[in-house]
Amino acid sequence: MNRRVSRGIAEGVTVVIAAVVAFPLYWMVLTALKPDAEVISTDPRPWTLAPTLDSFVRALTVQSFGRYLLNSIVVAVAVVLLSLLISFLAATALTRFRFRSRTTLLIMLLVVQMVPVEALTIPLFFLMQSVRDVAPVFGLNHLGSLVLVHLAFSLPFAIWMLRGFVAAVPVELEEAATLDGASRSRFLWSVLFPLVAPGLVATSVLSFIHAWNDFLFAKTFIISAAENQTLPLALQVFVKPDQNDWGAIMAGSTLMTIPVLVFFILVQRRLVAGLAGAVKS
Amino acid sequence: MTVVARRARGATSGAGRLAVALLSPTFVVLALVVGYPLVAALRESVFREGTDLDESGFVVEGARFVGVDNYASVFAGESAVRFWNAFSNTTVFTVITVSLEVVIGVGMALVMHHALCWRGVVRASILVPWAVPTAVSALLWRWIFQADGVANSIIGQQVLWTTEGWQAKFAIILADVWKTAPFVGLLVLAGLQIIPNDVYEAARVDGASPWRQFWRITLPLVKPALLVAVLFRVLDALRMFDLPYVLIGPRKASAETLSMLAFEEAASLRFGPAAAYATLLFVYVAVTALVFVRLLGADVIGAARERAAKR
Repeated sequence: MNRRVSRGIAEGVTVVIAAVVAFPLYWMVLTALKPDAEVISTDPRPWTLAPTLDSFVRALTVQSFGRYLLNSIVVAVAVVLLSLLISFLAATALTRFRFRSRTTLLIMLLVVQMVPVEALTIPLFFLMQSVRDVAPVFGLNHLGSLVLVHLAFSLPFAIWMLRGFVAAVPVELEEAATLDGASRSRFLWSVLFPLVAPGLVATSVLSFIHAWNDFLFAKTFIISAAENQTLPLALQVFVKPDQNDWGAIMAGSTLMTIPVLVFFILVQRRLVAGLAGAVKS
Repeated sequence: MTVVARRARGATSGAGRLAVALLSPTFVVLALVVGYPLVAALRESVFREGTDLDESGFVVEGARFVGVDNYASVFAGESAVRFWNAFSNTTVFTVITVSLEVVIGVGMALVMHHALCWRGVVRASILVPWAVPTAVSALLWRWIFQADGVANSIIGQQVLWTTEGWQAKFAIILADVWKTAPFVGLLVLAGLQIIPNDVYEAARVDGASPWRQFWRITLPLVKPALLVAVLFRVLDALRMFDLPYVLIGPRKASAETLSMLAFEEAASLRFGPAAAYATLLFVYVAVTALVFVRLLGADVIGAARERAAKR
């Protein structure tokens, strides 16, 4: 009996927490669906009797939302793939090989996590300006510049996390593979890579969200190439002093959140298992 | 490289070279995107732009070397007031949000771990705020905190949330906790996965209450995961930027953080002072991380060292 009561309380708490957490999101979608008159009404109601897609239409048509969406996806996917590859190599080096400066390197990665990014936008801007002269694709006004920056800032956490997974693979396995005649690179890609897959999933979620969320760099680097803008900036078009188009902002926000949600729900089970592996070691 | 070849060349140098090869992409990217701008900012912080007169009365243009002048001017007069205000805002936000996030995050993790029905839905709905882009969540909270917004109609008062005062701080803290408590929850949930069930079985047989089980088993075992989460959260919170920037707006004393201050200076083309602010913030974050690792999370780095020693 006692147990059933406490279980009931736990379930109740669960529902309340989920509701509190979900409310702002409900409000976002609701605002996006409300007709304009209800959105600006001074007496907000928690429901609407006349849902409409007008706001979505505005968000999608006022500017090339599809183009921005595609840009955001290109940047995020490129960052995910590159950071998986690079952090996997680095994590392997940092766990599988013994060398003196290893701890120093790990701390250096932590230091990267401490760099006040927003304060570095100006030097980064000049950097991208010079990069443009050498490799235009990675310079100002190109999506490559965003990929490069997000890659750099998502590497430290990714490496720290993957380190645990690589360490969890027994050394004997490597010895066995080597005895069977597998080369180092063969071992890396055919044995180690699949074994750390859960860790790679967790890492990719974090890199994806990191790149998808960015507002500052897109604002700083993509200055005169409107066709290379990403989604967070597209939203700002509706933000005007004193007369924000809240319906369109919320519709755009909803549209921008959906891809992350889909990605997230698809991998959340593996994500938890993945992070568990990182912690375990 | 085969075993034989490796032995022939001497395992250490071969392994070392391979390690360098594997690490080189990381090095290249980080040196370019983080190292170079950081050095540039440090250099900039001892220069000042603009037209000026030198000692002998000649007009000089462009960047001049000014030594620690930029730093000195941060701590002088009006800018000192602004700096210390931003410093205390940053500190207050970090301490309050991270503490709340830890408590709520652990709670969320327990709920997600023990949820019986609709486990996937409960998990997903708790974690969603963290997946929402910051620019979106800042706009969303600004909408909720409008003068005629839903926050005011729920509490039945007319609070001007996004104006100067305690309410602006409250709005930022609430929005930040809403967004990032799930992140702590996620990492703690991951930590919970690896606690074997029989530990609890044993405790139950010994008659330990759920409360006691939590303090004696769950918390100590989940501590390593929690420490990593807190460390990364503290480092992030000290650099808080876009949430207060979009939610409350720039140049408001109640909400201005050190990152915003540096950004504002740079936006007004005062690169020298901006770089000085950035450097000071970097030092503040680094010192905090160092103290944190020393006091609480010796095992964060220690684990790495231990493993290095083992091999």
